Amino acid sequence: MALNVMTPSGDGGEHPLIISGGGSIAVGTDELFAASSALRSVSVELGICLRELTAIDGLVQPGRAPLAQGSVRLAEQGIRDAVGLMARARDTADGLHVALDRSADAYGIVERVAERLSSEVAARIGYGLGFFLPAIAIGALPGLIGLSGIALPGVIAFSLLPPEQRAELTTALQGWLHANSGVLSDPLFASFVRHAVMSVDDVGAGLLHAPPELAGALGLLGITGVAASSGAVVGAGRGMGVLGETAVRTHQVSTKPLATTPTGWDDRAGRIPRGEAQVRIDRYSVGGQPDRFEVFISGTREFALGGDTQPWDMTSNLNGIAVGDSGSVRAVEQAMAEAGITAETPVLLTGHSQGGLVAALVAGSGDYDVRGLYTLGAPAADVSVPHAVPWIAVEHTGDIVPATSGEWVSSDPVLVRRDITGLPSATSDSFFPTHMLPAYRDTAVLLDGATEGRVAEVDRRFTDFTETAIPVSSTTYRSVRTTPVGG
Amino acid sequence: MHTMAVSVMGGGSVDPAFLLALENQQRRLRAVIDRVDEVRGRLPSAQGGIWRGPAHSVYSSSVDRLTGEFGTIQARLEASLAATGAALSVAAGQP
Repeated sequence: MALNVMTPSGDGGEHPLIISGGGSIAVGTDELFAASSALRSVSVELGICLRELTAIDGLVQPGRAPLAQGSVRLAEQGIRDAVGLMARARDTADGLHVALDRSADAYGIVERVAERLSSEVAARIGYGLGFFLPAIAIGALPGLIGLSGIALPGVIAFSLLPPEQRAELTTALQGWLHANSGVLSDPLFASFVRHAVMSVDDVGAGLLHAPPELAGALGLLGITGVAASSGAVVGAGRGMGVLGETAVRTHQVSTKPLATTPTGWDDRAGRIPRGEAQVRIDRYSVGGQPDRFEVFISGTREFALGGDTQPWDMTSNLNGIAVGDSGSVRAVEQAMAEAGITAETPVLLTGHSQGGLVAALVAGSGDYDVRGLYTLGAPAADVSVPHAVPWIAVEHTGDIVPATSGEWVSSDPVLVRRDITGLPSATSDSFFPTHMLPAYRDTAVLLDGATEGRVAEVDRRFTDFTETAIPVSSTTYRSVRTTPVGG
Repeated sequence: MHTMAVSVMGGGSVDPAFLLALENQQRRLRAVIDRVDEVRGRLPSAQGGIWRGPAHSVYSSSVDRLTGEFGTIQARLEASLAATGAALSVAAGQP
């Protein structure tokens, strides 16, 4: 849902960061929170000045110098006027700061209610579809399930085609995606995907004529939901010889001395590997303490559902969402072990797309001493990560990839959203321009300048991690499946 | 505390504690003026891109008013500082 009180004014005004989550109900732009914070600071400072002026007012007794009496009284009057004006200004600043905070809270409440209503409506429609129109629902179900992992039957059939036919279809698909990239990157479409994903079980419940309350209760208990729906997809895929996980083998690609620790969010995003390697691990030393590490994890590299040996594939995407384990998760764990990271080693995790999902799963596993998590466009809304782990999750509102994991129900990261519709980074020559890492780096630059309290707190935790650290080395890792998926 | 009266031009007299109080007032007023000036710099822009519609009008006019109030506060403080300086000159016997 877009924040409809925004107004265009420069890049930050047209495409502001919309911040929510992190244990607060407030939703607003960084600019709004910065204004509120500035006004609060003005109010506090004016209070201090008021006390000082009141103290100054009693310093001079006019009667003690008859000739200077007029000037003394003038000075006294000026001070008293200033005290009155200052008290009013302080109250105005305080009132404005409170009003801005309240409006952010109110917007957060409205957004939550609207999201809940939208989900409820989507669930009811899904249930009704399943209950009353079984034939239509049966036709719709694979498509809806497919939204959490791309339409399964078609993709499975695609994966099983001979390579030349796959290439022909791929070319045709590329043309279609190019022609429709605007729609596919539309925030409304992403919102539709998010609600559709959350309603898959309701269609099934309607089909089974189960009471709607039972469907809701099962969802609350975690018996149904995005993970369960994806699990059904994975189960069905395995039955057809695809989506079955395989063993992975991870090896070093390169290692070199590290010059600097990251200077901010964009710098971190820029360290996510994009070449042959899928994982980069930077090592820092801290005097008198164990070495600490930062792990950077790349996004999906292969979009086939079977026949490939790339752990960063759709099999890992779906298994990661469905069962919390995947070839790419195991590959990262292998790379971390190879780097010397144990359960006691302080570590920060950064990932884009599938890399963000993997980072969240590693953080949520409880097997590591994760001091911070930073995800960009990750389908990680259904991953449960302890609230004690500081987590910045960046999502573009028109990016359907994070939308495929549904709504944020399992964790409460500081969620930074941005509508980049119309920006050059959103109109690049790719199918899902709003999902691409360069587009997210553009947003990370804005995040580096954000002063909102929740963002600043996570930023502080990340900065503390590297503040006294001396950069040591940077190592990249590449992983392959030991056998092809479905092979 | 014992204070000694000092003769000044024009026939009056003033005790050193009075001069000290004026100097103290002058110094502290300057500090407050500097601080208010610094605080004024922290005010958010009224023309910022946060709101639109009625909410923006309320916000914008409030910040504008606040900015104006700072101007008045600073003018009053400057006047008070000037008057303190004048009192100090007179009291110290300087024209």
